Amino acid sequence: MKEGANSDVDEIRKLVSGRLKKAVADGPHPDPNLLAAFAENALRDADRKRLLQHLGGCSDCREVLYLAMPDSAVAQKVPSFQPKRFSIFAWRWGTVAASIAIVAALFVTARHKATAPYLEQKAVVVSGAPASSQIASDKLPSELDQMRVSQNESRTETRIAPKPVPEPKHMTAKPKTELAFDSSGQVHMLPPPAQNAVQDEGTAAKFQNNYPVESAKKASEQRAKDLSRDDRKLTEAVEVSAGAVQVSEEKQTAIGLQLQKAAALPRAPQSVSGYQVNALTSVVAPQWKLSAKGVVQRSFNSGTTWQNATIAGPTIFRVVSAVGSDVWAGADAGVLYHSADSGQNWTRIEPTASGQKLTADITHIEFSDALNGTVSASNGEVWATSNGGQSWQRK
Amino acid sequence: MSATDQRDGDRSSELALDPVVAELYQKSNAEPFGITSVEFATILKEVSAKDLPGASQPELLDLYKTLRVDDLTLARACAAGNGRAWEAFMLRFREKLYDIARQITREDSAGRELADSVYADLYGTKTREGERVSKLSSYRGRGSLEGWLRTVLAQEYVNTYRKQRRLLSLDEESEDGIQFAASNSEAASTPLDSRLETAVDDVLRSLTPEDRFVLASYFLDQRTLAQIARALSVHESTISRKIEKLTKTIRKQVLKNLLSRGMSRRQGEEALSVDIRDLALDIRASLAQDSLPGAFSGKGAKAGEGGS
Repeated sequence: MKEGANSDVDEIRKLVSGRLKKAVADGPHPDPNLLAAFAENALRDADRKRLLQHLGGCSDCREVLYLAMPDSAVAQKVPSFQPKRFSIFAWRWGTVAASIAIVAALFVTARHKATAPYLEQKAVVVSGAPASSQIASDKLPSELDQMRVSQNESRTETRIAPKPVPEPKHMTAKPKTELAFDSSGQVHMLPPPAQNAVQDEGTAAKFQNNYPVESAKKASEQRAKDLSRDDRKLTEAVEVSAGAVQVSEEKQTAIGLQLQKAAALPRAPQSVSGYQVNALTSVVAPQWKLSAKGVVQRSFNSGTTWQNATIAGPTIFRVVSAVGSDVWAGADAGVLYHSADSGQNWTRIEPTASGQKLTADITHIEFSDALNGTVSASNGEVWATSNGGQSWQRK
Repeated sequence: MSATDQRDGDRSSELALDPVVAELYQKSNAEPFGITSVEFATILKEVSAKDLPGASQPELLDLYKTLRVDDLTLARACAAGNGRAWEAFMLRFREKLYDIARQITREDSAGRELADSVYADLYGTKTREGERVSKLSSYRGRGSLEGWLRTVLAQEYVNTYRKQRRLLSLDEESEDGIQFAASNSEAASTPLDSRLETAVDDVLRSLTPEDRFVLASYFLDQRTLAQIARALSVHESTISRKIEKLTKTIRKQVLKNLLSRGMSRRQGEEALSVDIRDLALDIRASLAQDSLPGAFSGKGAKAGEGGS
């Protein structure tokens, strides 16, 4: 508040605070249902107004209201009757936020254009790579140059040897379509007209496609030849998101099927570069919670939908805690599970110190990072680890 | 079964068939706790009878949509003694209840005592007509069950604290120096200009309920801007601006009122800046006078006993 207003505030404060010693106002008090709903902004206008009238004159109810407020600033989301108020203040900040969003969007677009050629190369590698290779991910041009120097010819030879794909035996009509890479790095299915020549500007591949996977394979081979001629081109399969995703044989088959489906569709163009997008977005850290039945659940869409995490046995969990991709779940009788990969795989942890195991019910888990944390038990014990659960100290 | 009971049962069955109610029943996860759709409809009717008596069907459906039906069915199933519901309740709220109690009392042992006391009430230590009465049966789903538990704990704490304060021994009073405290009646008995009293009362009466709540919270209870802002679900800068504006308005209006009652501007300014010890304005009474008797379901009950 401004300094100049302090004298006015003091005068009014004196007027009001002088009456603190007066008797408590009598009258009907609201029950906990209404006070709780008020605190959560879930009351209808009429109820809210009546409650405020009471609260304005009842210090007991105000005290209850303030005592019942959670310490944390995290408000619970509940259906509200309150109409949204738009003030000049809100518009002002809204304009600033919109400007930031536009700048961010422009930045992302510019970055996408800068990395488009590399995405294009990845698409080729994915479609023709052997089962053991890893999917390409976004790398800066300087990083790619470094990789090229250290890993070139031998890898090129091993990588571009595609796994033979069985020829379709019962295909009566083969789609006369063609795959082509455009300047944005996406693969497109072209309609079957005779003029199949594609402007590839030296980087896109041209396919003769009796069968889409075969076409992709041929494209990969063609691509590899081009790359081997020009050692400045990318010849290495690189990782997606620090190696979190690997291409399995099944996945390659799935990609093949996807291509096959795309080829069978009469419309064009069909983009298949969504695979890279999925691979990159699938590593977003999930949110975690416990269901009413004690099942550990995670959400990848900010809590809109939740899926059960598969942890061994029908354990009823009491607490779950997550720091980044490290997730800890505790249950009765010292049952503790840990996942280092956002819940993909779980490991049973048995905290032991001086020959004694944690056997009490786990009531609280708190980790400040992937290594350091504590587990509290119902008997008051607190077990601490500083190496991600490999060893424990009992406090 | 009486004719009235039969009629109520029929109405509940009718309500259960409403698509909105049927959807809410699915959402409430009531089935595993042994609550049928008709029983669920009866619960909804109980809630509306308490919170929105005599409302039309669309109004009732609007109210139902805002209820925390999952919490509501859990609480009612617990109150009915369903073991599975109690298991779920304990799992969700056992530790939370102790944490909240500790947060309210700011002390571990007192917090545990408070939580135990409320647990007993939730389970139901009292009986009515041979049946155990659980406090959970008074939860109506208007806010979250956790919020309701917080409020119940806070009310219990305020009541307990008040009881303890009433039972303060003479020795404790001596230790606290209460015998040296100034008498309340001293200020009240000081003769004052009644025009100032009336002017302030008039201005306070003209404020909106929210303004009076802010004023009372800030000046009487010494709450922080952040606390008031959180209570009203607004940003604290909004409260800061509101208080600044309110003080200016009150001062201006009181002065205007005094001038209209025959005071000169100078006299009015002097009256406003008089020391508080010379004032006997019943501002608390002014703030409280708009409380509507019977506005809530508590029917005059004291805090902590209201409306349940």
